[in-house]
Amino acid sequence: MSNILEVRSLRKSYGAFTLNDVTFDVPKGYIMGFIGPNGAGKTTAIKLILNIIRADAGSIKIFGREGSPVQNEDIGVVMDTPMFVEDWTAMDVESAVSPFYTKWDKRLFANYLKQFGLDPKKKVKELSRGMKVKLQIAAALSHNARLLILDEPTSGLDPVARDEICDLLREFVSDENKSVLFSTHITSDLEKTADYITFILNGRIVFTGAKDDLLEKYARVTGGLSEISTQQKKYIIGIREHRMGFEGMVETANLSKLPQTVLTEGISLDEIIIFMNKGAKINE
Amino acid sequence: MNKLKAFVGLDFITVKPYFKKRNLFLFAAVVVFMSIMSGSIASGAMIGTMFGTIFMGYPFALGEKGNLDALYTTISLDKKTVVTGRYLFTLTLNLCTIIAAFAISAIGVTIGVLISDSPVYGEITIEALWVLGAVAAAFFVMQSLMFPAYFKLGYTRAKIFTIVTFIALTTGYVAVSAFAKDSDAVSNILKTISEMNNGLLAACAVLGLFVLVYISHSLSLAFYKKREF
Repeated sequence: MSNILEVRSLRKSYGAFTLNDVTFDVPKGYIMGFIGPNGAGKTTAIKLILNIIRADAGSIKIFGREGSPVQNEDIGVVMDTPMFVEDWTAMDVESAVSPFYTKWDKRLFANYLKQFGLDPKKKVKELSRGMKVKLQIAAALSHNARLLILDEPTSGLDPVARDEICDLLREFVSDENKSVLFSTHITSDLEKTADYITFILNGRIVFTGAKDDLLEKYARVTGGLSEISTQQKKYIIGIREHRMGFEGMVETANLSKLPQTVLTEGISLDEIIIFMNKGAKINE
Repeated sequence: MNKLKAFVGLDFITVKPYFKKRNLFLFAAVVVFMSIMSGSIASGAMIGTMFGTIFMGYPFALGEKGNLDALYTTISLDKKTVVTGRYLFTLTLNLCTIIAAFAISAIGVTIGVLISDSPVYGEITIEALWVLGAVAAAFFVMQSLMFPAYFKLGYTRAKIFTIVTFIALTTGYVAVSAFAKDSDAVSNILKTISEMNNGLLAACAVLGLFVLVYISHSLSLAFYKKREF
């Protein structure tokens, strides 16, 4: 088994929003970045994987078995908002969750609290957002989880705190039997840490594969409006026209279809999300 | 079974921060005061049981605020364990509250006897226990009606339903009492009940409560299984 998580044809409808035909794998020993703009379906997909909500169709295999709540013991979870009572202290968090993990490591939890500078007696509501995330990470890493699932853990954090979290994730996957599914819209974190990327847009998977393949698949193009024809504009995703010319993204396979005078550059994950999102809106 | 026990513990940890000394002291003071004033264990214990009922909604309220229903799934708790565990936790809380309220009431009545030099201590009788039992049963009935609403709608949305239930039960009690005075049929039923063997009456009441709690639990489970968080 080379994949820790296998998601196949997942479907879930919520009123006007539909998560449709979501298929991707998280390979063993790697960090999978799960990207997409707000409302694209990242949290819904994660909740489906964790069995918090039920899928209308599709299947989820975790550690090679069909998903069931029992397997969650091997999963560490960090959500955008902590799933703790605000008046709990870090000690209460341990008392609350540790009985449900057969491999809970009391000493490891205490070490993480120390490492993160978390006062065990401080209440959750008294912690900063960064500290709340760290408390969740401490709990997620203290029961020998093999898969870490993080939903927007770095949003609202300063660069130092984000870097610390990214370091932790890299350390976690140094064990080749462990993997991370890391959802975020702060793509700079993923550029440093992720090996694979799954890109979701409007409830559909746009890309899933190696991060480098995604970055090589697209290029940023700029040029003068007179340089391209209406036909050629169709190859440009999320094209933005302004007085000086245009900018957009193009699949590298289509580069030869554009004039050589057009300036092409490498593209960042952030730009891919922006151009894809814009392109989707143009096509609506 | 271990998970069920652990869940009852988790519910206790959830409400623990709200068991503040100040609240517990207030609870004890009110129970003692009521016992002294009435000279009856039952009235003090009744107030104590009411406190217990107020606490009953806390795991739901705090769970909703802290998104604990999602946490339960991530710690591999199935929905049956959550529902059954919540009923067990409430039962435990009720029993503890009733015992504590009864004990504190007894202290209150004793203080009353010492202060007033009246023989009201004699009221710690089987009759007082019956009143206490009836009050506890009434609260169990109320909880059995409210829990399915909490599991179906969540605390915030179900709050209105619980208030309506409370008002309906109180109004129903007053209406039946008033009607009973003028109705021979109701009087006869009440007379028959009062003439029944105490043991049989208690057994019927306990059996009735079991059936009610069973139906309530089944409904709660059915509702909770359909909920998503």
